[in-house]
Amino acid sequence: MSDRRRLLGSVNTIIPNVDGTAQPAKIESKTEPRIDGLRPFFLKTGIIENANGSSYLEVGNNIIEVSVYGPRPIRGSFIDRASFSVECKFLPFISQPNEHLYNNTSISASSAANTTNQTNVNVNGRTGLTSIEHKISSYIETSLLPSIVLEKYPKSTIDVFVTIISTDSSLGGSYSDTKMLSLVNWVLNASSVALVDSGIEVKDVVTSGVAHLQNDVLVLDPTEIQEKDEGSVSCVASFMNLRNDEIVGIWIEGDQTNLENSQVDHLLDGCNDMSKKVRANINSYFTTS
Amino acid sequence: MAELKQVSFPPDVLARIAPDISLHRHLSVGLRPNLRNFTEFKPVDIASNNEITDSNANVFGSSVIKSGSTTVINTITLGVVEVNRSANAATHSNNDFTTVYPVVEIARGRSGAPTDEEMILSQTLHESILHSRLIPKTALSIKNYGSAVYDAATGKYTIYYPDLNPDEFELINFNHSKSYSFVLLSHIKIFSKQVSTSSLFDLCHMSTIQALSRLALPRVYISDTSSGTKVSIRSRSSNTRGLVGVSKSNINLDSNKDLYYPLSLNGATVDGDAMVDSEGPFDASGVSSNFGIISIPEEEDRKTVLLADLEGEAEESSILSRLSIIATKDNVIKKISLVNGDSDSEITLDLLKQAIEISKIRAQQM
Repeated sequence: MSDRRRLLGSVNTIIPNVDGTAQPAKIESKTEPRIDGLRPFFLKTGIIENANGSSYLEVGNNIIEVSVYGPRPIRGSFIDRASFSVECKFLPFISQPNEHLYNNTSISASSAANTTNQTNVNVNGRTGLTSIEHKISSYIETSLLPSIVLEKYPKSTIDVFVTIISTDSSLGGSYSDTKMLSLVNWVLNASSVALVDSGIEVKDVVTSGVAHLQNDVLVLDPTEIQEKDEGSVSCVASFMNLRNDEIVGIWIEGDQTNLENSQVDHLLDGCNDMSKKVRANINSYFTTS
Repeated sequence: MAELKQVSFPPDVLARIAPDISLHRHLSVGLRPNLRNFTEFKPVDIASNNEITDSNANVFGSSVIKSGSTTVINTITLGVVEVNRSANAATHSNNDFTTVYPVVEIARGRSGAPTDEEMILSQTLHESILHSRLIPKTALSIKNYGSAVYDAATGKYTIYYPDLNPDEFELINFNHSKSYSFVLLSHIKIFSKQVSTSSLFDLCHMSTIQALSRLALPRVYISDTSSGTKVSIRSRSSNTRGLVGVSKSNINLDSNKDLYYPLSLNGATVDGDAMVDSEGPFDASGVSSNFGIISIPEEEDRKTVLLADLEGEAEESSILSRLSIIATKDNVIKKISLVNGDSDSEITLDLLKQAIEISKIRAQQM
């Protein structure tokens, strides 16, 4: 069925595989200098003028843009508190993290020459969210929800729109759980900043951290992790640091068969540690800019 | 009866509640609400790096341009379509050219179906590029597509092209029975829309031209499984409506960047591996400019003025006579669209000439 609202080309158009036999020249990934064990990140607010609040964040190859629209009036019956929604979308050409696992699509960027998982669906015409986008959106939504003073905004909606412009996975190759959670982590931090920029009342600025644990070695803000090994666990957790480090969101991926309490504690401590460092950076951004 | 008191508003409030009055007051003192001169264009920045193309294997051309806070990200991905060989014989002029298939998306805090504005922008862009005769069909036809051969001994695939590996290719039992052509699929994302729809078109046009001028086409090969027998299987879970393996093909793009070749646009010369753009990518395509025409009261008479590059709510809503011109620096006009929407401020021949002159000067300066 052709889409009458978008120009997607003729219905016979085939979207070819981009092969993985000849790897594109990879940009040398330099070991970035780390400050406090984290990668440096670039943050800017207020760049989107038709939104109430916005933020732009770059870390590694990830580029994330967040716009907050709201409080906006709703039509229809009265509600005594604002409704809150988050929509996280990747630009259509980006290969999404672990999409061969969740999205039921081809492993397009990393496929070998013999893959036949090709579709003739033009991604430019994609409507709605993919499973990964849904997962990320709902994580951000549940994590931010406890911090917003919804009672202040009756009969309104607050909508957060996240656009992922670039990811660490862009160079092809399968996307690991760790990298996905790392992306989620930075999306959450960027969303919190955008929420503050919009001037919507919050109880605390939610920040999060991401940690990876293997053989009792804990790495914060992991980038180069060999995942296939046993006992490799990644975790992203979000906190309200000024409200007694209340956990507002937690997402664990990896080998969880023998996960023990002590390991979870270790991971959470790591995430908490990182969230405080991120929080300190955000605080200084807002006080000095 | 109580007298109605005169109410006065601060300028920013007036601009919201009575944009037309606010516009007239600005124009009568010789300024526009955005504080530009009448025929002054908003500056445009074009990003010089090619990062999106470099870091995404499926993107073959891209551009990022910025005007004020408005940012346009344009990416071109490729599709492949089978073409009828005999169709090339047709000599009809517009049939020799093709265009891009753009999908414009404006970030505006809503999800759902595209708005009218987005659809109009996509369609106008699609048609303007076609009628400016920029992309010859021959430039997109896929010549000498290769074949991937599986070597059981090494367990690897090797790609052979008829022009690059003629000796090996002779050994492969492979005939070019079908001809294919590329389809240019463009995605345009617009952040922080501040300017009018007409100006947005100018930005989209500029970004598409920029992306096209940087577009590098890959080599195409067919993997050898395509000669195998295909069986249609009914599948319940699949969204391909039950026919698995029929619509699927084995067309692949070779991501070897050494084999990429630039798209030869009509009018632009191609030299070696890069397009000669010593004089800029907009030479052949032209630059799109837009104007609004509005009459302002002046003493006893009315004066009709030309405003370049409309921006903001006041200009968008109160200026109904519009001109949109794509002109090249060599005095070629690729497109004129003219809407005489306001009987008070009609587009006269003089204004039209003036607008064309300004467009040419702008194209020369790009």
